[in-house]
Amino acid sequence: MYLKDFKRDMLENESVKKEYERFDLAFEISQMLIEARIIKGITQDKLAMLVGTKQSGVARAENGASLPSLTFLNKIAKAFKTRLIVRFAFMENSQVSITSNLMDYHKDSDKSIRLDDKETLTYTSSNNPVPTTTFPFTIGGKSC
Amino acid sequence: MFLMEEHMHIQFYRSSSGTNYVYEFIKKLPKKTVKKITRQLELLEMYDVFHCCQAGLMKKLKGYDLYEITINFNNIGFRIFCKLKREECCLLHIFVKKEKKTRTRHIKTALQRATDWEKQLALKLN
Repeated sequence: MYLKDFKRDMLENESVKKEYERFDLAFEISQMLIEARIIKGITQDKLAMLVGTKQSGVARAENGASLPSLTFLNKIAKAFKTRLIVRFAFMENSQVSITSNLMDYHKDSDKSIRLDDKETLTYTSSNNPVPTTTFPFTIGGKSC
Repeated sequence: MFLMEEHMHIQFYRSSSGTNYVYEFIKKLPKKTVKKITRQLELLEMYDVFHCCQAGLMKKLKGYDLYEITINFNNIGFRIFCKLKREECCLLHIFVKKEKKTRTRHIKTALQRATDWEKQLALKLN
């Protein structure tokens, strides 16, 4: 039995299907954070070091039970060397969006990448294309 | 360490008697946990083992030819033992982690099922 067959079997149950399709912001953000970490290939501990918090803080954000603050997400975006974009779906074509200041990113980029003199994090991903400039705040196919 | 660069195909181990242990275990869990586990497995399938290992979602068991998938939800730690062969990843054994050190009986169960799965694969190829 493959994963797609398993998913199909599980979704046959009405209550599970309803829960699966229910949009939970905290859960979707946690999944987004996990996926971002997989793409960049860093552990919770390393991310916590870059953000300047404890590993448990990152774990709490990835747990999906509580909603991390936008300030925290912005810090994570800076650690990933990208920008955080927040906007409403109907404003997709609009020029106005809340994005973290690029100047801030450039100012802090040296500080955030270099952990200490000995260890420098390198984000290598030859096979997977890594989003370099923007970090769209798109959740479960719906832009927020 | 054996690392694959291609995407994984996750499958569930089915014993010769027809029991699907991991499937039966997940089926009994609350629906929110089922959602979390399914989404996490889908994430693992999307990316290769190398990236998942680096992110700490998956790790190789020292001394055994097995991998361990870590899923934490609502302060409950689920562990899934799996075996990798080419781009196939077979989920063999799932349990709730209660102690710091994993009991060897869990590893033994997974190893037993791994050998059985390999036999099934060999039969299928022939």
